Amino acid sequence: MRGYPESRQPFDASHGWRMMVFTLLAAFLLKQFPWQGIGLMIRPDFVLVVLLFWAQRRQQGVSLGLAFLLGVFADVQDGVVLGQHALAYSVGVFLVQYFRRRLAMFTLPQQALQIFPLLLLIEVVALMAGWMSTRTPHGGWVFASAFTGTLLWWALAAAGKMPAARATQE
Amino acid sequence: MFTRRPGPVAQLALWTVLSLVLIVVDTRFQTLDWLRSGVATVFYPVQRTLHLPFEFGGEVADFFTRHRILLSQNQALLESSRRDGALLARLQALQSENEELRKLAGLRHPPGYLPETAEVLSTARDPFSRRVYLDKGENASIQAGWPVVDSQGLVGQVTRVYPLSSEVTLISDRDQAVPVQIQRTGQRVLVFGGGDIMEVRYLPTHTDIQQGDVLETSGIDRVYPAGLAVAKVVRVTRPADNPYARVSCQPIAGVDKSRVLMVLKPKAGETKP
Repeated sequence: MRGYPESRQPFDASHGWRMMVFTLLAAFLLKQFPWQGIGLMIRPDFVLVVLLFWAQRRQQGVSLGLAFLLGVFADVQDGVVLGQHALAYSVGVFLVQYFRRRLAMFTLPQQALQIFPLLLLIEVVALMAGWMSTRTPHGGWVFASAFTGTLLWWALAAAGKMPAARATQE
Repeated sequence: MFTRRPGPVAQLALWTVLSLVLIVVDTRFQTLDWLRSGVATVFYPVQRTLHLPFEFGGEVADFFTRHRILLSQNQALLESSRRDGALLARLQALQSENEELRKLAGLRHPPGYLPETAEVLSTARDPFSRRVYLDKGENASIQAGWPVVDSQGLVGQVTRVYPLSSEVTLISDRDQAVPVQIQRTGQRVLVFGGGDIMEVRYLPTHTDIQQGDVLETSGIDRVYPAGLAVAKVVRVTRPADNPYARVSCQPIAGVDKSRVLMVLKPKAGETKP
């Protein structure tokens, strides 16, 4: 996988980090309102949406560390296991930044259409993390095969002198 | 650039691993409570401030409520208060009689509790559990494990205490089980939370339970005091292919509606649950 899809578009370069901090803070406060009933159920995740917006708009993107930190805040706010939203937010910001150039080619409604599956995916990641932490199947051993599989792949690639083996030697 | 800064995929991997470590540490070792409690305390003033306009708005709305409505309400309240007075007198008589009988039977008094009123600060939206946050915590010497009620019945249990706030897991939470007894027959059963509806499990098909039965805490768990209304049976089905009856109940207390709740402090001298 190679580098940042560095967008060289001129838009919004003038908005520095101050604007981003301000909007993130506003989103955060909005989320803190005592939402109730149906409002609580349909409330969008303001912080996440604003975060994704800046991940797409800012030239240098948003650092994954910031996404992680805001995710931890969201976890405390919702009283769920720590790390659940941290993981989901990091994945979301990464994906938006990965598809940034592609997103920038579309009109706004089309962009919104592409953001929808992304938000859905982020929600699924958070759900999976929550499910994994509350009812881990077989004491977490289902995930062991991913690690052993990685090791096996490494061994195979090294043995077979696959192109991937050369790529790791930089 | 790549020599100084890891690529985005490597960064993602790093933060993913950190998240997973956080999840594992939080669920397996419970050592992150200081972090949780610290962040919660930092946010408390923010939550409190954001809550103010709502309280103020409520007061203004009350102020402009029409005089006529107030009058009719007043009338109704007076009437109900008269009725309640009569009921209360009867209740007191019954209570004293009950006490006499208890003494006669040589039974211990049920443990005494002191109510501590607290307001609901916010509700957590988490598909895996049902929780609310109260505006009092260690500052009101609330402890985890104490029962929480409203004017109608049992609401839940304090599960986490922060310096200025506390977290209550509602009885409708999937992981909550409350030992109760059927008011009509006195039989002891367990009622489990299940999201919006609660259910009684492990009840043999022939058990005497019917629609409209009230379940109240039995008090045998030493967490909840005996006699608090918990739920009302709304449907009983007895499937032929299953040895257990399927009983659905509705919580009696306004489990996710009340704004003011009472935390019951066990009186000094009682064993902590």
